[in-house]
Amino acid sequence: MKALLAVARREIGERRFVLVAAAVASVIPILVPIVRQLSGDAVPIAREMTALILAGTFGAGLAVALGVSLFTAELVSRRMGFYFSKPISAGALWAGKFLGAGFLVVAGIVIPLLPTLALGRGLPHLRDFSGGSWSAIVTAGAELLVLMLVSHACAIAIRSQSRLALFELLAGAAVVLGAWALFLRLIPVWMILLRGVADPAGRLVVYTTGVLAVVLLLASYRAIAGGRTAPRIVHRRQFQTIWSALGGTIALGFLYSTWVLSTPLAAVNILSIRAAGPSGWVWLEGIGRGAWDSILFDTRSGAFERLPAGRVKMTAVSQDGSSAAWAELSRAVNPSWIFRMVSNGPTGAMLVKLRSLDRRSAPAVETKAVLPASVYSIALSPGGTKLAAIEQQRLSVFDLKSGRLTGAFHFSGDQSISDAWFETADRIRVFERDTVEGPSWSLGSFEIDLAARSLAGTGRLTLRGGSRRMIRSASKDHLLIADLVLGVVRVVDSRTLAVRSTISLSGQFIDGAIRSDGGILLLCENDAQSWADLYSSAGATEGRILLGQRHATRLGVESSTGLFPVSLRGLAQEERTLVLIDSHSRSLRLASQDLIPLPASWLEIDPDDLPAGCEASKLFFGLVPGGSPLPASLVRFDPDTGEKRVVLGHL
Amino acid sequence: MTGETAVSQATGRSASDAAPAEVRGLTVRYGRAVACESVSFAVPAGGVYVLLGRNGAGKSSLVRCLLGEQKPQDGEARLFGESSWKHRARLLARVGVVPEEPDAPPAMTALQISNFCRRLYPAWDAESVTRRLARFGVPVKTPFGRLSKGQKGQVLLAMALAPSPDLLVLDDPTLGLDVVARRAFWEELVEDLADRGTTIFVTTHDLAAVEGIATRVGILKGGRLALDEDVEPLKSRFRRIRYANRMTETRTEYGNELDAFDAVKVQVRGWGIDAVVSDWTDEKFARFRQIDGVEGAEADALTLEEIFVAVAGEEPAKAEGEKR
Repeated sequence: MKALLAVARREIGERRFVLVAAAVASVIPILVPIVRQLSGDAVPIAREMTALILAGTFGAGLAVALGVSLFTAELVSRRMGFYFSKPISAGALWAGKFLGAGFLVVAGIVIPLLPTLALGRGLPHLRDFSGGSWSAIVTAGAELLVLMLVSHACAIAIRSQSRLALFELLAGAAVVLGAWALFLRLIPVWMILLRGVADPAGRLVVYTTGVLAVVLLLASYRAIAGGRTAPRIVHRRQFQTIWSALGGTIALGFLYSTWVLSTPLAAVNILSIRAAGPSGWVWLEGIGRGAWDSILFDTRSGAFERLPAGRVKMTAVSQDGSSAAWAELSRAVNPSWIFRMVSNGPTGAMLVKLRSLDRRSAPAVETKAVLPASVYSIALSPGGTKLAAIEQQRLSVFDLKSGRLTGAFHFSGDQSISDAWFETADRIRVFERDTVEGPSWSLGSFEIDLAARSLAGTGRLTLRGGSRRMIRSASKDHLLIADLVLGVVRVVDSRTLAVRSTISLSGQFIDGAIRSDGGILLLCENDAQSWADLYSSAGATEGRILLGQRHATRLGVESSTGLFPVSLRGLAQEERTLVLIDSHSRSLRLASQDLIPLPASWLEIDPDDLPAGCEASKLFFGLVPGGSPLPASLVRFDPDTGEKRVVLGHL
Repeated sequence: MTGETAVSQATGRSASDAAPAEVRGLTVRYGRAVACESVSFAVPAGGVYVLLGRNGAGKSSLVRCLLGEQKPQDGEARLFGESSWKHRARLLARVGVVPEEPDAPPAMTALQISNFCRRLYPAWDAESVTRRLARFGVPVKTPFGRLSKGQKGQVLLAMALAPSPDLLVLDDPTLGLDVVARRAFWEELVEDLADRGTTIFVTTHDLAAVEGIATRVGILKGGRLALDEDVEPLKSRFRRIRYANRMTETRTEYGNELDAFDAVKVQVRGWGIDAVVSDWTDEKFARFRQIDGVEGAEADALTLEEIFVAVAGEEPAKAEGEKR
């Protein structure tokens, strides 16, 4: 310790002129307002601003100058022997020199501020300049330390005249490329989690700087301890340490990323499940090994396909359930994407990947289609041969085999495309809606004939009123438009948008469905009880099924025999019950105490899009009886047979 | 036996176990160039070991290894029985060093250097520094960089002696000094030796100066240790023999009369033969003089410098820096 302090004192003593220069510079902030003849509030602001700029500039200049000369000057002039021929350990010499230099840098920052601090009783305007607080100044100080270390490393590399210095550039380029590749591999996985972190880009810079500081400190110590008086050996040790440490860090990062990206399904904490079409495939999302995971999972076979989490922007499943496609961000992204992605999500050109859902083990293939960043939704044709890319007022159709754009259709006006689907491989139906909710609401229906390359409007509906919900039939022929303010449900032809009938709601609307036989089921409730009203396709009342003194919380997909699962919750307690509404016999029966249908908002395709009796209609969340109301498992339950099987047991 | 091979027997292991300084199988290379190879010797306690060698023979590399400033490619350097590379800082508390090139920071005065060193050594005699420097006439408040080369050497010697070291390592300390400065340096050293009996390891080209104080000598040649021996026996077995040989036809050539000796250097002069032998004894010389044709044979003792020239092969370069 005595040796360390002796070296530090010597370092400071040799460069004491720095302290004198800083003291002289500290007068400048006081002189600036006088020279510029400022008065009033402008005086302390000008003084503080000048002092901060001066302190920053002085500190940065000192960091570079000290970094360059700290050991290098003595090494190249062969004066390191002065220290190494004395009882000073390499560690004490290294730490003493850095301690002395660090003191000088801190003094170089603080001394120019002292008169300003005294006159202003602190730095009351600091927040205006630094955008933060003292922590911003501390961070800046830490970054100056890194600047000093980088200067030191560069000076050793250059002035040692070692041939190894030529390889520094190659090693640096390799490390930067490696870090970038790792970043592309890992950051998208973390992106969604990073969005919950305050100032993620700033943290990324701080952590990267921290790693660099540790590596440079380690390299500096090893170089001095191992090379001692020989400049080339000092440089060789520094070279070995820096690049092996950074290379090793990146290699470890790749190993870690491989570990993260191969998280087994059982280790994923699943946070959401969406049905991926009618055939029993689901999209799973959750957190596995600290990273976001996105998985396409087959509930029947257990096969799964891991999607590049964070890079997938949108997904689609063909109406026939035979294929799934997703658009993922291209790997060729520019550096500014780092900062944009954590705040706004990934942007940029997107690649389209296609996977057959009929062939369980077939991996996803990358198609030749490339989508622009403005695409916000996609639709897949039956069989997965074509893809419709939806932008604000444009719909483009790609042939997925060739990647060619086979058609582009423009929509005009203030509305935007809200939904599009392939009716057949050559026919696309499009809904266009107001972008802003107003006193009236307009819906347009269009039909695109891909063979004829024609776009035709087939109907338009304008309604007055406020909040509303739109529910489609599985065949998409009809729509239910529930006006929650007026308390009516309109049955609308989805092509012409002609209103077939209007039904007055008998209570608060919860949910509804167009039955496979064309009839209508509406779930309603009041403060005391809930019930299901049944109507014919023409809107004529067919009957009411009372659900008891419980809230109806969720309506499931119709089973093949006209059964509708409904989740009920007690009025005063969290008790959950799944009942089956028989729309044919207009009766009710208890199905289970521990199941709830998959929520509509989590479904890729609305439950009313799913055909009655499809595999997806048999998927439910399982609850722990008498336990938490949160889902504990994914369960396949057949309302027709009562057969129940746990598909995923670790939600 | 020739000059290419070690003339004396290496110091026995048991005698060198606790030697103040020792190297064992030391090899130092710079890329493909070999500075020294498989060098082994020990500096006996209380003695003055003089390591000689031509420029580039590997002396400075060896000294740096001995002081733990440089790691050898092979072998080991030890101080007081411990590895100087591994335990440098602790061991150097007992060692005073005068380097080949004055390496103190140019901005520091002698007084500041003394104050800096005072914190590093357990027993620092600051008074001895000022006393010595006063005797040398070196200003103590002048920055080191502004002192003459001789004054720098005197400052460093004063610093090296101040902690009362058990071992003094001098790496060509009088290199570049004028005669007066050299004499002052060695006189100070001799005085200290007389006072304390410090062990000294010195590399130098100033052979005349160390002749009177050296107790053991080593000669490096081409990176290898060609000789390692106590000075007295060394000087007693080396002799210059001058004679004329009437048995040869031309009288300036020589036959096989020198076969009885290990002649390390033989020169034919106008007046006869001039040979240096490394195994001279009175008996051998008496027999030599009886050989037919050998006339006017005389044997003279050699100085250390003459022995060095005979063993190392050529005149030693004087006052030239040795390239590291």
